[in-house]
Amino acid sequence: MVEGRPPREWDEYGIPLLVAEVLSPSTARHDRVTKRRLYQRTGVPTYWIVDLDARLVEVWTPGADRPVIAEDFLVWHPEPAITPLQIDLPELFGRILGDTPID
Amino acid sequence: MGMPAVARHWTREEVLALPDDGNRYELVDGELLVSPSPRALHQYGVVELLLRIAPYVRAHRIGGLCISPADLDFHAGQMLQPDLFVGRMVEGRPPREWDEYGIPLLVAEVLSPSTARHDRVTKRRLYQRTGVPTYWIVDLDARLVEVWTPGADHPAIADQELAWQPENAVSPLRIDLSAYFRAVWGE
Repeated sequence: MVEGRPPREWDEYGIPLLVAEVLSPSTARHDRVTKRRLYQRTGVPTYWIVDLDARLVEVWTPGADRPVIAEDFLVWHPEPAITPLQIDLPELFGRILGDTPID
Repeated sequence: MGMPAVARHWTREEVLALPDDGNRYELVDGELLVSPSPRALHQYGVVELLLRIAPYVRAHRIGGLCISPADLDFHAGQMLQPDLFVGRMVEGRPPREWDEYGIPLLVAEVLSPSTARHDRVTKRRLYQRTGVPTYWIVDLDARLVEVWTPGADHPAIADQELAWQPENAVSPLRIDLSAYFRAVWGE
């Protein structure tokens, strides 16, 4: 937030609280290496690399030399005062890949 | 006497060979449409629309809901990247590949100064001609949505509520436009 409201222009974004990239063959190298290093170096608190083929999310944080691998639940807790977001990954990947019936 | 000026006719192969330079390239009847990277406000317009359409599309099993980048080819080598679109179910499931999309049930474009002419004229004519049942032009400045249908000469203007009921749906989606535009503008 900028003065209590969402940023209006790109230059108000600063360092994002969360960045996510969904892997594709043509971007895998950039997402896993080039951009990952940049996000870590600039202090992006949480970087998710979503791997649809492996049905998992790599969670990178600034100081880490390895990602935390999330396969069941992906948890994001940007503010201690609010309840964390919890994403059911098997359900999510099932929807994306079309093998979970739509409710 | 010189040669008459003829607009260049681009092919799909030529457009695919263009560099990935941050511009959005589309091809309509051989005309190359180039759009620069959108502004944040434009993307909020897309996101807030997506948030309102997604629960309806899922609950009523309407089809595949998607945003660009994309590579839609309605017919004859067009390349289209609408801001948001919904494609019909294919054998009871959402389309998995661009070539399964066919003519979308719904196309929406959020206006920006650099794309207004394409959205209002070039692409609108193509969407109408190819039979896209519903085409929304979202005008964030005027806080209204133009609703175009295939045979119409003029759009219907929605500025309070935007309703959408695709074929086979038992009840319509109703979007409160005042709340939508307030959310987009961060009010």
